[in-house]
Amino acid sequence: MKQDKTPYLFLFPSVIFVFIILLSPGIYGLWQSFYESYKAEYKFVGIKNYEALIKDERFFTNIRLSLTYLLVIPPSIALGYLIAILLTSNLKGIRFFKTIVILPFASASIATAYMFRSIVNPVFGPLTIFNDITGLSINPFSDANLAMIVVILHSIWRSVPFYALFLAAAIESIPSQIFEQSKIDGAGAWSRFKNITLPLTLPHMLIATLMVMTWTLGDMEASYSLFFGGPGRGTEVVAIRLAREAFFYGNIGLGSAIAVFLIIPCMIFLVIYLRLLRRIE
Amino acid sequence: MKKSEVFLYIIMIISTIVIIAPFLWLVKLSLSPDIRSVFRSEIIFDHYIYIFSGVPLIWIKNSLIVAFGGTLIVFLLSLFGGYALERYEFKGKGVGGFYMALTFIPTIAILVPLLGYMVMLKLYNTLYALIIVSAAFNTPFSTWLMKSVIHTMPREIEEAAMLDGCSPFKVLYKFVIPTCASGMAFIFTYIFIMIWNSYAFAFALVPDPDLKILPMGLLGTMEGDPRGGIAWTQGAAMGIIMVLPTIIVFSIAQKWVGRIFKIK
Repeated sequence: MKQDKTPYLFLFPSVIFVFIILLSPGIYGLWQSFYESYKAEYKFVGIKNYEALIKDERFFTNIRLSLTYLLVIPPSIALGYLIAILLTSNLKGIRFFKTIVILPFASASIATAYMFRSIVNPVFGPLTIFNDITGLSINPFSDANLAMIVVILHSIWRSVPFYALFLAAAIESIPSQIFEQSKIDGAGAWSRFKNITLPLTLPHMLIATLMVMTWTLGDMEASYSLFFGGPGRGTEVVAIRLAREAFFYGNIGLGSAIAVFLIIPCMIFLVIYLRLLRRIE
Repeated sequence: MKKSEVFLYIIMIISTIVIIAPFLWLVKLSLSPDIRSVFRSEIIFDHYIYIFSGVPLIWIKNSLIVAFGGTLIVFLLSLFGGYALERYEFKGKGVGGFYMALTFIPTIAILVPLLGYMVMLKLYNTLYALIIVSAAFNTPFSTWLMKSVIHTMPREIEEAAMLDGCSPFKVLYKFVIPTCASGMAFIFTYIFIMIWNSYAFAFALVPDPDLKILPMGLLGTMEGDPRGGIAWTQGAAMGIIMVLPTIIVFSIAQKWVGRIFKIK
């Protein structure tokens, strides 16, 4: 529309700011991962930090738990589609539903974690009642596997609204004639979903999945405030380990090496994302 | 009613319960004197009074400083950036798409080197560090939101104003901002919520207990009393204060929600 200096002038501050705070640390972090830090002094140690991680059994558990955490995704996709279809309908009461559906996703993760944490605590609350009635003694605060299940359920509860709203936006962008034509042709709801909705929203679903994968691998806020990585180290995912090493113990070098393990998969997600984006356009 | 409609209604009812129940549970917990009375009808407001008259008030104040400071920076940067990306054709415009790609940086991973930056800048252990870092993390998405809001405004008015010799700055504050006021108000509150909600930055960069933001205070309360006692119910009241901005904004600004989830 216009050709002058103005756009550069307008974009310059934000580009510089974002470059300094978001991008340059990536390079600096890589550099740090080859060093060991004593207070403010750095000593070059080569690949020692990486060696330490590869030999560390605890780190393998961290990775295993982070991969387990990704189990959030399949149920979130299925439920997300279901609710996306609900959101694109014009049922009575859908306006109210649209208002509340975003809440799990948009609320502070520490607060939603607190809800789940207090619901499943063994001292009071719904789980104690459930245990009283059934005679069971389910206690995520002492059973690491159960704790991990709660971490995953909490994350599903937060991710489904994201998928639902994201997919609903995608479904709404499908021309309505396509749906009407298939109704005339006598296609049922399931076959409409399978033959129209699913294939046409597949790139969107994959993009949402890449985002959720990035958030899940990098999530420390929700998982940490649910069980603080416990019981034992039963929910200590890679992100929690990173936070502990770097911010509790000041092991900047080791923390940076762990960060590299998180950044690499996310960069792969980014490349796939860019390809998918081109397909949508 | 058709069979498929009945099915969707059932889904809607179940989802509504699953979404709302944990919130209601937290409300009841925050209004109970202690954990033994959670299932009784007794209701007290002591925990809220405690929060607004004791140490947690400082946490709230710190949270507000960070959220307002951060939001202000994000808003200004993305207003100019978003406008430039939406209304101008220029070399290097590809930076816009590149901005969205920044979503794929895992926050926690970048925080390790940022800690070193903040130590060098002598900002470690200050609220400034939180303001700067939260601002940076929210600028890319906010810029993109701003672009999409400005996109809905007809550009003829601006073009006419430009021909009349208005400077780009004047066009921005005289025409663009007033026309997009409600969309921009939404962006402002959305960014505010994003910064208000998160605590990883504070966890990494501000260990000083006097500079705790509200979620860090809540985290401390949780660590303090896993077995029971009053901390559970006090913590619940803090949790309610944590989610309150989100509930208020999204019940008012419902029509803007869809915009967050559109890629194009």
